[in-house]
Amino acid sequence: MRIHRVKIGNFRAITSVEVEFPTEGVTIIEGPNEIGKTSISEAIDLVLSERDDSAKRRVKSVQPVGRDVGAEVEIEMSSGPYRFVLRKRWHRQRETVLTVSAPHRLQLTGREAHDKVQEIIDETLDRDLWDALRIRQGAELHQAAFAAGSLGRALDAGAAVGGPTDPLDDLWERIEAEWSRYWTGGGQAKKERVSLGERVHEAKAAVERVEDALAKVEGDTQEVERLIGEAKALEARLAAQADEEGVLAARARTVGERRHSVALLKEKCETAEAKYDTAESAVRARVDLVERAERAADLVRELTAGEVPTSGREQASRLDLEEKVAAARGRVLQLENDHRRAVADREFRRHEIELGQLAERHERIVAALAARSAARAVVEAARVDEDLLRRIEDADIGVKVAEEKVASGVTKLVAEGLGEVSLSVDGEETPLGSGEQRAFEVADSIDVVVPGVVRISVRAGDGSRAIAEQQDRARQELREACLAGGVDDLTAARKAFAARKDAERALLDAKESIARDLRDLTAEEIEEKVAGLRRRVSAYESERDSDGPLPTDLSAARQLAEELEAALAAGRQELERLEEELSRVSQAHVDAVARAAERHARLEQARSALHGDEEAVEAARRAASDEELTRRLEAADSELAGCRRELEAAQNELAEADPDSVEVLLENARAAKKRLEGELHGIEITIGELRAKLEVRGEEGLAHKLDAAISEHDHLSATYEELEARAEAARLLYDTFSRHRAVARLRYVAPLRDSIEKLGRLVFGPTFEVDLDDDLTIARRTLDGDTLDFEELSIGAQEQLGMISRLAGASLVASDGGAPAIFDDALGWSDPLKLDRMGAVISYAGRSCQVIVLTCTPGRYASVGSAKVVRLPAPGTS
Amino acid sequence: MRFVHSSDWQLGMTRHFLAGEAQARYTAARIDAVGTIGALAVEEGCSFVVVSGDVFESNHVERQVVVRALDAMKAVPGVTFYLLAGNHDPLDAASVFRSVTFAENCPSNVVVIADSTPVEVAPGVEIVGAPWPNKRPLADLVSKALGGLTADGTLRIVVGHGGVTSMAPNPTDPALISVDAVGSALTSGTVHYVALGDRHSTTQVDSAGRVWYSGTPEQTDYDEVDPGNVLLVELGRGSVSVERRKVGTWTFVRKHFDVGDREGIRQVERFLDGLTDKQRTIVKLSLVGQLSLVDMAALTSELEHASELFGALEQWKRHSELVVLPDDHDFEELGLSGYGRDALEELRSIGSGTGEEASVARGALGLLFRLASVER
Repeated sequence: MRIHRVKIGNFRAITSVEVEFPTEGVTIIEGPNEIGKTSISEAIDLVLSERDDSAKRRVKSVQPVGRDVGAEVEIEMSSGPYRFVLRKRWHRQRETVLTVSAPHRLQLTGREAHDKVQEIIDETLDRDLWDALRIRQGAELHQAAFAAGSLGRALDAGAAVGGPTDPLDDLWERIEAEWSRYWTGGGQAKKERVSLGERVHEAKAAVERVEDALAKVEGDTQEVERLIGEAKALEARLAAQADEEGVLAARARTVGERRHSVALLKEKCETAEAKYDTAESAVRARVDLVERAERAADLVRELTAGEVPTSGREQASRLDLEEKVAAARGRVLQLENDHRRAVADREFRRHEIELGQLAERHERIVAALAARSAARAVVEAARVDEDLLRRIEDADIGVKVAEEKVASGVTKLVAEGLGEVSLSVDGEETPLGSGEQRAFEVADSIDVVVPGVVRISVRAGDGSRAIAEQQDRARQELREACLAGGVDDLTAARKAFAARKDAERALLDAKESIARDLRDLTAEEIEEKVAGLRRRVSAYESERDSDGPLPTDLSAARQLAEELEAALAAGRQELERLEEELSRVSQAHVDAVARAAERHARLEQARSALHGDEEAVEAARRAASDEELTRRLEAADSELAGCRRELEAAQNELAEADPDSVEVLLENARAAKKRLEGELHGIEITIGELRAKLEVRGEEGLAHKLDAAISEHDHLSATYEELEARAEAARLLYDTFSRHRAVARLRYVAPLRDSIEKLGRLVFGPTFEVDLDDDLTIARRTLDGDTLDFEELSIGAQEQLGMISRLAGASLVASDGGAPAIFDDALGWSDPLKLDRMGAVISYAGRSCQVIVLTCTPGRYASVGSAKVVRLPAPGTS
Repeated sequence: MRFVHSSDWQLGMTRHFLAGEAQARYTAARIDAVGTIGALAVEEGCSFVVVSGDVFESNHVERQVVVRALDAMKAVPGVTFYLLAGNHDPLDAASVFRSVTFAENCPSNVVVIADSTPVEVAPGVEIVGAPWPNKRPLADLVSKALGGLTADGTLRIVVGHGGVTSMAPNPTDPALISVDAVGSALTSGTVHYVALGDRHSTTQVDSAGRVWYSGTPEQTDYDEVDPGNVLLVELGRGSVSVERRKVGTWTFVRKHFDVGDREGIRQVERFLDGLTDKQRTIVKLSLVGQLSLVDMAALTSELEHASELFGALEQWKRHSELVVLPDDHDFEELGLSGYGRDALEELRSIGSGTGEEASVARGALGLLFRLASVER
């Protein structure tokens, strides 16, 4: 599309303006804002889109204020093959006039004219592109929103010659929407589809369940049929089995009968045997009887022959022996007596000696005890022991030492009688002869008074008094020690100590003697023993019989006793020998007597037996003669043989009937029958159970259920298949469109980017590059290797890039169709340097497309090289 | 001697292609047919009706069906129904005839033919049945039933079920009824009429007109040639006359159409329009052809309309091949350009092929058409 001329009148504040535009190149329209350079672009918009009778606000707002006239716009333009002039007047004397000059001349008015223009525009102009290529004042600082389709179509050489507005983007949205009804963002089937699929699956399973149930019923039904067949076969077999059993039973009866006759014959045989046995034993008994009688006769003969008498010699030797025994017994008695006395004598003599020794011991003990008592008394009386003696000795030495000291160190008062005088020394009358000297030791003080003459008081010094005190203490000690020992002085003490020592030694000796003689006894026990022995000795002496002299001493007694003891042993031995011999002789005698008695008894017995036997034989023969018995035996024997033959025949007959196998077979036949009956019964029970089960199943209406399940499944799967088909169709449509769309975009992006970069380098230098987004907007800009997102750029840069991208787009589509790029006071944010450069860009773009720049700032676009500048007149001018 | 010969009631049969209400009506119609047959018997002075097998669809029909069927027969005074077990409802262990429900509800005028023992139905008249003991008998049951009979002057009607040797698709089946055996029994005068069931189309088997399939009283499927009848039989020793009486109310129709052009679609319209008693008509169409989107829309609309009217209208999927391929005209007005046109062309190219992918592509084209049209 190209705009050749616009003329407006009574449009806002503008009374009348007409602008002509070059087909290519830049037209700059300068004018104060109030006049409305914007009005130019607005007028172009209105005339092309609004009918003359429109009551829209945007239409109303352009009516000049305070003047009763209609706003008027006339535009001359070409678009596609068309070139026309359209004039419209609104508000007053509304009018629309269209004059088409190419391709065919045509003039229309009113509604027709408007519609025709719409038709031409729709046919030849891409409205999206038209909108995209304009920057209205202050409104769109940013990027051109090129619809891919618009630019794409414009870029597409094939479709470039005109074309209706492209619905592709809307269509694409619908395709996407349709696709997303069936598919998730990830390309998976949506839940509704999946769940419908599951329901189909479930319905199928339901069908299978009912089918299974029916198959089971069918199986059971067939099983019943089969079992009925089996039962019939079993019944037939049972009947056959019964027949066989009958045959076997008959055979068994025959066996039974034969067995019975065998049994009878066996009994008969047994009877015959018994009879034979009887006859035989009768014969044997007769023989025995006769033999016994003969044996009895033999015995009597034998016993009678063996009888012998006893002898008198035996008797005599026995009596002699008895006498010898009596003599020996007397001798032994005498010896025993003598031996007993000899032993007693020996004991007596031993006791005598013992008594002497013991009595001696006793005397010694008594003496020692007396000595011990005496010594003990001495020791107890003598108090001076070793310690005391030492104390007394020490005390004595102390006294002597003290006296020495007194003699040398104590103050002494020596008085010498000059005449006889009586002195009172410390109150004690002390006569003093003439020439007599008396010394007084002054321990402390002393008063010596010569009565009536003088009192002399001597006071001892301290040393003297201490010495005197020491002497006193020593004396006191000696006194006390002697008193303890019961002696007068040291000499006496020494004597007493010696006496004590002697007594102690005597006491020890006595004790030792006592211990030696007592040994393990007490004195009293020894005394008792002595007394006892003494009694026994004196008693023996008085009581002893006088049959022989008492041996003189112990050794004689001992010898005698030993001799007697030996004699006694010999006597006893002899006695024993004799007694033994006597015993032997006596026993032989007794035995002989017993033997004779026995033989006699036996003979008697034998005779009696012989008699009985002879009688028995005679009696038996009277009853039946021996010949008779033999004849009977022979008869019984022949009868028994006959019976046995009969029995054998019957047994053979029985064996022929094979009794064992008949019985086994019969038993088996019966068991088989029973088993078959059991089997049959089992089958009948199973049949009954299955029938009951089938009856219950039958009530369920499975056939109907199956139909219902199949219907449900058919319905669901039809629905599902339809849904799936729709989903697949949507997917294919989506995929196909998506792919082609992407390819198309790629085709548009490259030339647009090239064009943008070419223009941009005029402003930003040779390193300028851009990346375009899917919607053909600029995503990033790279400058000197520095890449920034579009949003990060300065407003000025954004504005410049917005304009560049529009110019680039417009240049691209300008060669065929396309639309003018119209900028309403853009680049307000750009610094002068950039503005200059932008001027070059606009100028450059203007070479290939129509560019219209509106501005209220004269000079802003001064740098646009080849531009036609139109200055709008001030209001009110024309 | 007059009686009614019927068979293959198949009570309890459901047809899954019948939607709810139609299913109920169809089921009811089958029970109603029992009443209609009873009324016919009364009207024609017949004392009994023989039903030659498949009284029930299955041994496992809903017990409600059993109760209703017995109730319908009970309501016919003076007419005895002799029911034979067929392959659908054999007298096996699961037999519906032996169920508690049947026993408890069986009226005195309903007799189940339990075996081949002759049943005297009138003085000198016997019915000899050959019920199916199970689903797969291994012998010709009718021939077996004939085995013990002699020509003793009794008028005999044999009631049997199954295919006959003369018209069997599977001649090796041992259970096929021997036409020869039946023929010689008729010739010898042992039996006088053979009432067969199994074929749903009314069919005369022998030339003398004494062996018949009565056919089902209510049609059950599309391939039945002459269904919906019962036979009114007038039987004497030397004479027989068989008259078919229409009792069925439902019709199954199957038809093939080429719908490659507008004319084809118009033919479908005319055909559907021409059918009478649409409520009780079940239609199955096999449609073959390649349609433009516009034509497809027209066809779809017609079918939707018809499916409201008919008992059921289904497409015979196995025999239908409708290819919807949007043509130039369809897309011309969409005015797709640029990559849209490229995508469209690609889809059309795939869609013009065959197989799954092509089918998906045609779906995608239809969708594209719809989405693009919405906009306009």
